[in-house]
Amino acid sequence: MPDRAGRRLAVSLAGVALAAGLLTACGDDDNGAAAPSSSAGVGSTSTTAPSGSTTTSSAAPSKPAESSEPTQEETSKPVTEQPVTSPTDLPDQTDPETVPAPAGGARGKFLDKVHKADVTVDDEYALSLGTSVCDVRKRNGQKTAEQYAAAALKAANNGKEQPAAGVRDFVAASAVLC
Amino acid sequence: MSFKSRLVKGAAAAVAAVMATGLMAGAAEAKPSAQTWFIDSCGMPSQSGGGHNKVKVRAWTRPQNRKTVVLLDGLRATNNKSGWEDRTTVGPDLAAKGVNVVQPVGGYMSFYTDWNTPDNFSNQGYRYRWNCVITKSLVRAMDGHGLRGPSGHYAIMGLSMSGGSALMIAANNRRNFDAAGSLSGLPALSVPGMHTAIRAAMLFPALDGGTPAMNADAMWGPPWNVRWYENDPLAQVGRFHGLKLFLSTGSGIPGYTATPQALLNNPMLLIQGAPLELLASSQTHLFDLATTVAGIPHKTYYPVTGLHDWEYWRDAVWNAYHQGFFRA
Repeated sequence: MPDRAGRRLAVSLAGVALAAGLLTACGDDDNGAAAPSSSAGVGSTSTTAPSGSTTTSSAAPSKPAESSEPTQEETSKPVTEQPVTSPTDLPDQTDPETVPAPAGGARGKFLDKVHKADVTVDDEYALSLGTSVCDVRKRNGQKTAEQYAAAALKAANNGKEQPAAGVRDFVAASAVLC
Repeated sequence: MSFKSRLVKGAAAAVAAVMATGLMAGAAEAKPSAQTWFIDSCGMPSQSGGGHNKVKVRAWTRPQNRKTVVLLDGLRATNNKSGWEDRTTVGPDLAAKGVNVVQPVGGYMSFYTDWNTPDNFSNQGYRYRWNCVITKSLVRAMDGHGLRGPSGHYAIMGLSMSGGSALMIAANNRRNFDAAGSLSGLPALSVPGMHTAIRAAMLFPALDGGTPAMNADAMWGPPWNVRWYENDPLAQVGRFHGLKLFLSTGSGIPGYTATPQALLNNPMLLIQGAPLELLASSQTHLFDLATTVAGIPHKTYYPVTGLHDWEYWRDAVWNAYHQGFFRA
């Protein structure tokens, strides 16, 4: 089954590239806040509380036998889950910050091009998939975006492969969505 | 009574006491056998046998246990057996240590949520209603078995796909759950690109393993649907005050399971396991930061190595146990 193995590897590598792109995104989000490099120390076990916290560190399990060995629950650990009342400036929970839907102009342009492309897809799904494909193309390039779009369009068509040219046109059309 | 007979009686009593202690210790450590329950499926067709509209549940309980945890399965959950039962023995082991374990069976790619529509990719023909199953049918069944324990609440843990689900289920059902754990979960769905990643994750099994792809849009709508926001623990971080939280993730660096032979037998262990765990790690650390900023205490377990695999999730459960996460 060399074809199947090759395809699995290609898809896996595409997945790695996608994950890498996402990780990059995680590191510099809209607030410019990088993900913490380590909030609890490497190989540590900790209880985190912003104030009055107790952090206990212990070596990470070096052997499976150690880590999976059920022993008595530690009942003498200090309890650190006292309520904390530090005010925060978190976003208002009643004000959703979702991904914006494509604006009218971009939406129209995109759908016009998709209607001309040799692919079968309904408008609603095309818009949703288009935003993802645009994202993948921006982060991971044309080839990965085409693999992604081909898999998604195939799934949406009862497993029927879509023509390569149609998939390419779909990817090109998606550029207006991000 | 002569000295001799008093001595004999005393010795006999001592032997009896020692034996009784031994028996009690044995009883305390005895692993219960698995029970199979069938609970209402909230209108879905039978997911795993047991007759009309039923979901199978496996449970390990003992009357003297003081806490019960629901363990949710991963993206590739099957209708035969939970991955927790298939790949670990935490069910009987944890129950022998005082924590009842309940494992719903099924939920392939469901994120244990109520879907917006039936999945059109797999011609599903019905709408997933797993949130209803967990928060209503399962809670009712656990209540029926008298499992609430002294705290009056249950714990819930999920891994990978279900890590964030466990957090949100607990946050939205405070009357029933007081503790939630995410193991290699994805608790920051609003990070740019996450919808794209989840869409990919739900397509991948069709290419890789021949199991059906599913449509992420059928779950919570397109990326701009408010349900993505409502189901994102990061966006809902303020709702976790007062819950006992446990977060765990590996680093993506191959750990003790990545022996040369294991990698030779299954290269995907590394090819898939490392980037998935890296993603889970970045997501978990971001949520960790958000809970810290929000002043929400939480327990963590971040081993220096670890891939996206069951051995590490088993270790995480035991770490949670040792940190008192299951204490009533």
